[in-house]
Amino acid sequence: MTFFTFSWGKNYIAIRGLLRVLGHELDTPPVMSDRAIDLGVRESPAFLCYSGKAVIGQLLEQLEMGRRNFLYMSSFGPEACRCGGTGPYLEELASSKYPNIRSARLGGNSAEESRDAMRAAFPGTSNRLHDRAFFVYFVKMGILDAFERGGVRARALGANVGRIERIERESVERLDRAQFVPALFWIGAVHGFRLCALRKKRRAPILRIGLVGGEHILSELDSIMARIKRTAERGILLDWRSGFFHINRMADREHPEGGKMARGYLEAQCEPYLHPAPGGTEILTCARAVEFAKEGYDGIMHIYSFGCLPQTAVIPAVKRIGKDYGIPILSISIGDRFDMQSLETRIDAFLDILHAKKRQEGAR
Amino acid sequence: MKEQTIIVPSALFWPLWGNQFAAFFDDAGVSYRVGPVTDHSILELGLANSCEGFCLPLKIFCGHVAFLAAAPDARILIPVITGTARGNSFLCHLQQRARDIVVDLGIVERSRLASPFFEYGASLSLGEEGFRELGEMLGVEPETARMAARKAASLGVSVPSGPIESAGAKVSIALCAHPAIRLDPLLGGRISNLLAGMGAKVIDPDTAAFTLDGLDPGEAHFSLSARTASSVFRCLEEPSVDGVVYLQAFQCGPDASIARDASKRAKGAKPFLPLVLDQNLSDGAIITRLEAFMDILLCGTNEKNPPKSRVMDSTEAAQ
Repeated sequence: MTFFTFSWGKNYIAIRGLLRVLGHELDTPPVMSDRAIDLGVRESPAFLCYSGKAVIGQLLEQLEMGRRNFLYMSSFGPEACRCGGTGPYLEELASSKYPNIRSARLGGNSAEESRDAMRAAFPGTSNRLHDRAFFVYFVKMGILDAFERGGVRARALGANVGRIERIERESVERLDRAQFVPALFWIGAVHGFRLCALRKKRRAPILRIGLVGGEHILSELDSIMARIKRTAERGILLDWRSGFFHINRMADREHPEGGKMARGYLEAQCEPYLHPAPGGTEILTCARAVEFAKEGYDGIMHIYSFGCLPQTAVIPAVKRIGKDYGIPILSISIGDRFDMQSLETRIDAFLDILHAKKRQEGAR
Repeated sequence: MKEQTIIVPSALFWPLWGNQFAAFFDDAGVSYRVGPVTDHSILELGLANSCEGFCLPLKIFCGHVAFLAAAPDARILIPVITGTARGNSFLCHLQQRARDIVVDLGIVERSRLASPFFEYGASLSLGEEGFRELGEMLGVEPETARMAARKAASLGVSVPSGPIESAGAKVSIALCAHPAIRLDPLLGGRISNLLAGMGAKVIDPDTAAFTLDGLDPGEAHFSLSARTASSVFRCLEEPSVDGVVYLQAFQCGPDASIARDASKRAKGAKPFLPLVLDQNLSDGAIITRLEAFMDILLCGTNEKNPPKSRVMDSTEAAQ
């Protein structure tokens, strides 16, 4: 069976990998376009977050293309926010116009929840098949995340952008085709070597900026983040440690310890600012902002959708982190009336501040 | 009676869980005081101390805490209410993080707060563990705290006090909203009085029997939103209710789809008015909409004019 899903960045490649293990296929989602966003804004409730509206728009666009079998990944934990109800919501919204919509949800906060969800979607799936499918999914997610970060780093060091883009395109295509796990790691390693081999203009970036915020926005590559990440071409390293790979790891309740992506570590970072009760992506945002501040980054950009509940809840904490560590913060809310020109102006102004601050510090 | 006094903001948490906290304090022998009700000065204080993206009830809550923080000595109760023990239903992120928000914004020192952690059951009644933690924070004897906590946890959430009725009321209007809006004098209370002044009997939806059990996991994700939606939908089907007014805070994400879903259900059933409340609480705009709604209802009760369904859509209501 062939499914469709919403995409933020290239996460659909990991979902496609998972489905292929199960013997199914996934249609490539259309690029997140202005038309899709307009459609979502028109059809969604006014106070739904901007990310939610964009997702709805992209799904409606795919329904127009004749796709009917919707599959999405979501837990029902606080990190999922409204995402857990996307399937029933889409059916209610669009079934009168597009009959025969079917939705399936995969994922959960524990292996048991995830297996239950998979068996509800694909009856008879064995534990072994479930585990293998998710292993491929997580490996692909991790490698895609590394591709993005590596590409931005190479741009910040002044490597040829055309070559970086070609390497990225080829690696992503290979990763999409491959299913054998050692081959996936090999593709990741080759990608890294190829980026390292590129000639660079500088040894270190001029400025280092940490990106924190809503995982949807940070994972979206086609328009807003594409512009933000182009800042790297001016010699500025943009580092982010969130996105879908990280949120998947954070949502794992069975392994709260173990590494800098585990919930226990994140909560410890947030301790002065947020209580440890179950929460959503605000924990990820706060923890990463603290990390960037401690590591001496020049600035932090907090990027989130207008109306995003966890990201709105963490605004005071991010502001306080900025004060406590003396690090400039740029807070960017992306909403229905977002326009690229104002984003560029704000980024330019922020960069001017960071350059001036760095010059002052250098003069002392 | 303990020497230590605790003060409780009358907004956000108190409207729904006030009776449980009050019962605990009384039984544990803790001296407590509930802060003033919301007025325009508290709203202004909230606007000055909060962030633009917050919903109106949270801005008002920030105002309450800022007001109470000015009082010396007493600790302020801001519970951290995390969600159901099963971890499948929650308050919204902003309400859950209310304590962090007021501390991180510098409105109050963390040391001034008593912030026990609570989970709630399917009926939204707060669990015993959190009250025991509160007792410990306030220096209550463990056995006394245990008994008081057990009793408080056995109580249900607060229910509205009853209808407001004007003499000779011709129509019954159900007023539905998140409890922090419905039970706030400046928000729900004001709308209620305006409607009563126009000759309506204002009914609060019966939410005593609400439970999260049996709801679809996606529907139950935000507990209070599920409760509000259930009350709106039930009122739309209740024969003794002539019309439903639903109050929504500007920028409330969890309640985002209630107005749209209710509008769909209301078509062909009964008049439904969604009203979006924001910080620009101009009486004139609200009165105009309420009067128009009353006209529709009164027209429907006139035998010469057969009852008709009329749904004012949210864009119309927001104008």
